[in-house]
Amino acid sequence: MNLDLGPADRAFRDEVRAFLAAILTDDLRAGQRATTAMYPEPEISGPWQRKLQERGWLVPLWPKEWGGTGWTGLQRFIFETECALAGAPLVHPMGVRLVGPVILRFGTDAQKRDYLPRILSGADYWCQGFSEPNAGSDLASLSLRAVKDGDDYVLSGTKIWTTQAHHANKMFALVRTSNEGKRQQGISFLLLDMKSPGLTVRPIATIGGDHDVNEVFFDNVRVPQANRVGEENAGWECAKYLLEFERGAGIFSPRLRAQLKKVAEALRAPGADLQRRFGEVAADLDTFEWLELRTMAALPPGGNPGPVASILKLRASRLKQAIGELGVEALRAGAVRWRSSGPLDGGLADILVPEYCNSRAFTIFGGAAEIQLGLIAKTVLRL
Amino acid sequence: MQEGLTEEQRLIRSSAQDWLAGNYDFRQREAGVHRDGGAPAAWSAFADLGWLGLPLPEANGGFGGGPVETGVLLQAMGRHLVVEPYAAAMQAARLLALAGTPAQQERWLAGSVGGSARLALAHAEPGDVLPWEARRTRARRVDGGWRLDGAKQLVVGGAGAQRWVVSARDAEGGDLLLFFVDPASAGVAVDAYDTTDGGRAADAVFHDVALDADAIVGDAAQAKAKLGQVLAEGLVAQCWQATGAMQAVLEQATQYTQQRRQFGQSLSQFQVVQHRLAEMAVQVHEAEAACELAAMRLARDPSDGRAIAASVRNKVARAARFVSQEAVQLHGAMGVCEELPVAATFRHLLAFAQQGGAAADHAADLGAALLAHGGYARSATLEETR
Repeated sequence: MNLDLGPADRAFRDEVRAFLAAILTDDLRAGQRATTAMYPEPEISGPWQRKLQERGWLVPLWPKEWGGTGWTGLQRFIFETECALAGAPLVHPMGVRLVGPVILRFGTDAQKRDYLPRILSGADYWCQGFSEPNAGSDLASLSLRAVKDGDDYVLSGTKIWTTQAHHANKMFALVRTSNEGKRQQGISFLLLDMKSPGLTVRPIATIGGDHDVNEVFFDNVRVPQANRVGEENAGWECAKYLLEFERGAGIFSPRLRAQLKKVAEALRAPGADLQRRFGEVAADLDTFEWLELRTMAALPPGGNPGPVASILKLRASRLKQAIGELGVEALRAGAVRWRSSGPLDGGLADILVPEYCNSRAFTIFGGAAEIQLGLIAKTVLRL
Repeated sequence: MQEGLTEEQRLIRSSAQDWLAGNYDFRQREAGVHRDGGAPAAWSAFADLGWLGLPLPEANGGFGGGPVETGVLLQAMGRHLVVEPYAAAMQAARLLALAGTPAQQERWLAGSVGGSARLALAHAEPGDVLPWEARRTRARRVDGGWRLDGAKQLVVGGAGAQRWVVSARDAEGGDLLLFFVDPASAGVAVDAYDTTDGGRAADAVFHDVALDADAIVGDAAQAKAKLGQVLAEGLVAQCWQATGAMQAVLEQATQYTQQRRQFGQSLSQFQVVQHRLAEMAVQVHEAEAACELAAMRLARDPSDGRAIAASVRNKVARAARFVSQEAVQLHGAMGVCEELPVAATFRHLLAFAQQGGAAADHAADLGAALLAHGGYARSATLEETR
């Protein structure tokens, strides 16, 4: 057991550093720094995505013939660490990390030819239509109906918490195509156009004051059956595969460290208690970083981390919250200014306050903390 | 990078677990509790098994094990709540190996490795907050040697040890110095007592204790850095031991809640109980990861020991408190009886968390240092020697 990077990995790290030094602009850095919602706005993530694509580093998890890098888990971790420490924007993951692998695995040749190049070029901006008003952590209870009519499905119902649906031109959605059998068996996976008649996007203002998520209404929206990925009623397989990527392929610790850097800026005159808590959070983060790295480094390409994914999800979300909480406490009364921070605090209130508020969502989405604890009890403790 | 244990490390772990399972169950353990420094038979078995030489260089008759090798052995010891002062004795031996003169090493290390001469480290003093602080014990230079005045506390394994390595300050120069002291010397008043975890420790007052010129360990220029390294190693090693105890008590709590039935079902079927066990499992998992990281960082750069030790100590002590408290709670009234290992584990982890600097103090020390030099901005895993 040791932390030493071999010559090849060290050379790779230097290559990433050199790339970042050459390509990362102040605008992009500032855009990421100011981002308090899940992902940067398209005007930040778009240009960054193009630069990564030009370098051939946009889709590390894809097969090589489609632009994949063939990186090891350790290399991916090195890459993410260097990007985050340099302040690079987060890549909008919906196309490249979520629907892309699903199309690669379950899509037809025509779907691959249609969609994959447009993901790589950034021509399409995707959103994820999974959650519904009555289907949150219990995703299998989703009910948005898709009824066959000629060559189309006709969709009616509602999706909610749809991140950046207001920017997206495409959605991948789970819809109910059957009410028979097990709940998971009547679900299909569709790709659809956000410009489709009958589809309306309504913004939801969130606790951090951002417009990040939306409600999406479907009033007899027609989607060609050819846009279905995989077999009818077998969409749950696609969803599970996608969720593996969502949960297992995420690398959280570098971004948490970037968040901690901002909090440290606010701790210009920390009292003894805040110093102690900063030390605790730093110890938590160091530990989490190793837990995550050791999981990633042991993972074969496309591998699933297994039960430890729940531990990582739970800890990442709580750390996000602990760092966020320290951030507002460091601001003291400065945290009361809402979107009007002046030169006195260097603009940190505009970042740290929404970041803290939004951090509360991290133990709710993607399987709430209680769901993760249940999974840990079942898979780790075998209860 | 290697994220898992090496073949050799796995072997150390499995052989330690095997031996302890066969020779050190909860009943057999009682034989060592409340006797000076544990059961003599256990100590000589440790020597026969090679454990007393594990963390020492091969040149000193040891096996050249690093922090990870020592860690996996201590983790196994923690599972069995070993009361013999292994970690403490190894600190003193390591200090001698790192800082002692060849003559001193020759005189004492063979006996230490062989189990005939146990050493102890006398460093903590009354009023200490963290182990890195200045010592109040003073050494005065006199004709033909030194005179020692001061007080030490919590010398783990001190009673029954042949020699103590005692830290002190040069009364003139203020440098940190290390001395070999025979605790039976004139002027040393030793007060030995049982410790919360079933071990033994001693306090001592030194009143004008005469020491020969060759009682000084190595040279003063090296003493401070080497002591700092050994203190950090000791803190990390104790964390591994605590993690072993936490793993065991989590397993016990899981089994107990599966067997115990209330309101017509086993306790483990209640969601609130499952979530508590899951929270414990997360913290045990994290504590182990913290130990691994600390040991690897220490192997990579021993000069960073203070920050490494503060981080792991804080993390594992917080986890230890949570896990031990929850384990008692989940055992119900049985959790507060000495009959089951859970109470002994609770006290073991209590003793762990309260010595060598409290969790909160280590965190404050770490936080202040990180904020002062910006170390929080670097990766803890990938950043190489600065």
